[in-house]
Amino acid sequence: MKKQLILLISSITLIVLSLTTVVFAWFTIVDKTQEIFIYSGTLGINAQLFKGDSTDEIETISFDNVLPGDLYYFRLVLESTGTINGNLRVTFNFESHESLSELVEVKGIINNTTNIDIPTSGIREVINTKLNAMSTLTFTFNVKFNESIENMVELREFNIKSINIDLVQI
Amino acid sequence: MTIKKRSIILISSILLLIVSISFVYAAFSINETKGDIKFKLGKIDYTLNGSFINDSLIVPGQNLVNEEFKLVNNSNIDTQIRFKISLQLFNGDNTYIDLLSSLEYLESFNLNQRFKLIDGYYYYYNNDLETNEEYEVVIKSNEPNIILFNELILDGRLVKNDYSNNKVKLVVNFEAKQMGSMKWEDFKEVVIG
Repeated sequence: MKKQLILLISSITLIVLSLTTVVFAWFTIVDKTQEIFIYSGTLGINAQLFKGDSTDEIETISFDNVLPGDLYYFRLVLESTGTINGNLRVTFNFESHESLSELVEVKGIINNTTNIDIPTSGIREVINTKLNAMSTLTFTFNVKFNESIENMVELREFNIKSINIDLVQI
Repeated sequence: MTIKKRSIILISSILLLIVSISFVYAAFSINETKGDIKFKLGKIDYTLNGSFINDSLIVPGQNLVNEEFKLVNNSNIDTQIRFKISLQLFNGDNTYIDLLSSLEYLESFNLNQRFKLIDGYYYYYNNDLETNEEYEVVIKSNEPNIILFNELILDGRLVKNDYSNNKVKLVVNFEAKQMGSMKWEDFKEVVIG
């Protein structure tokens, strides 16, 4: 009987102590530190493709009955919408009949300053440069069908299958 | 903990790590795709139908056209055309020399009246009804047939006996070009008949 009493008192004491600790712990958790704000940067790009001076954006476009000597202008406007600088990489993916790739010239100019001759087969990197936050880069390029194209390539297709734009944080 | 359980936990952890890395990477790079831009070349396609007579002997005054010469247009672009006829004299060794290019020795040449002779070539022309000015016609892709001529007779008074017993051949050279940047002056000659 005495043993049971000792055990009971011990148990009650332990329970009370435990509760006190937990309650104490609850009160210490409530005591918080000063707020620390961490702002993450954002990376964003808005890409628009236009034909010539038109303001109507194009996604896909097809030209039929193209003639030797024909020249087509395009504008690719790349606007950084993020808050951090990024590295901009633009690649052209050409898919054309092999006999045409040597007879078509693609030339471009970045922001009216840097001229680029673009080989017209496979995947080609045309831009690899820093793009500052909230800035715009305009890439104007033209596609010219050589006047020496002869009838043997008539009805063949020259295709810029895709223009891939990658912006990666620096 | 069994080896099997440990393996499952390890693989799960690795997968979780890969997924986490992917999400972190996605947060710091962005990709867009534009295109495609497709160009399909046009086609110039004419068929020249017609034939000269195939007699072993020909004489002035004889119509040398067996079947009317006519163009069949299968082009899908706008074009301009011209042709010339030449009478060539056999010069030995399978070579021929041009005798006539402007057909000044013809007694009769029943040519489509819309063709105009300029420097040895016949060009497809028309008259502007308002200004009465002549202009070279642009042949639309949907204009299917153009008759060239159906009669060609040599003038005996001019040809005389100079070429009797000689081997001659008549050749029609037809050329078509796209509208736009190409000019006749830049044209390369392609003989098809």
